[in-house]
Amino acid sequence: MKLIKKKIIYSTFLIGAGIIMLVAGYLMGPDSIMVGMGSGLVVISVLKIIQFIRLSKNEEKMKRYTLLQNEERMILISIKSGNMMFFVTLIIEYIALLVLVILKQEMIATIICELMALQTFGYLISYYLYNKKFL
Amino acid sequence: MESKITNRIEAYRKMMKITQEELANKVSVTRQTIISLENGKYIASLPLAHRLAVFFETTIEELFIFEYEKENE
Repeated sequence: MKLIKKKIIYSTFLIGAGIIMLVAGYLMGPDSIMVGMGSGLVVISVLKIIQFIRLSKNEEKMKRYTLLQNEERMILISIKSGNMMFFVTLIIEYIALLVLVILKQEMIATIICELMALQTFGYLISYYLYNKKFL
Repeated sequence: MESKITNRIEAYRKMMKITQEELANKVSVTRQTIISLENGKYIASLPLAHRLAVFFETTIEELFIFEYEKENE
């Protein structure tokens, strides 16, 4: 039940973020990309909350869901796939960067370059924090 | 030093005449994890190894076989 409560709180925050994006989007103009992103976030979060409430009312499904969320093999698979995806994303970004430089699209290339630097920096920070946590 | 870990989960399970699903429910994992353990594709964590050993009323050393290979050998 604790897990479901946490998920509902998390989804509520996402609804809040979605509403902020919607408002900001309308202020920027109805054609803004923020409107689409915000409404998408709100709809998905509401659907998630409905799903969690329905889950909490069915004991058998709830047990299965909790097991799948906390099971060690599932966690390992999730960590490994996340880790692999991180490096695959970096490689794809690097290839995109090379193509953009060849095509002389310097502005987008700079954005991708900064994104890659941010990702790598985030990785190093989280590595440092986990290293300290498990020391 | 490299190590190889195998287990006797399948043998113990068959001895107790229970299905993979029943064992999975007893030790709070999915049936896929039991299949993976029995096939030797996944190595159980210490808490899971303990739960399995307690369920089979044996020890972790008896349930899991640790083989160490020295690098120079």
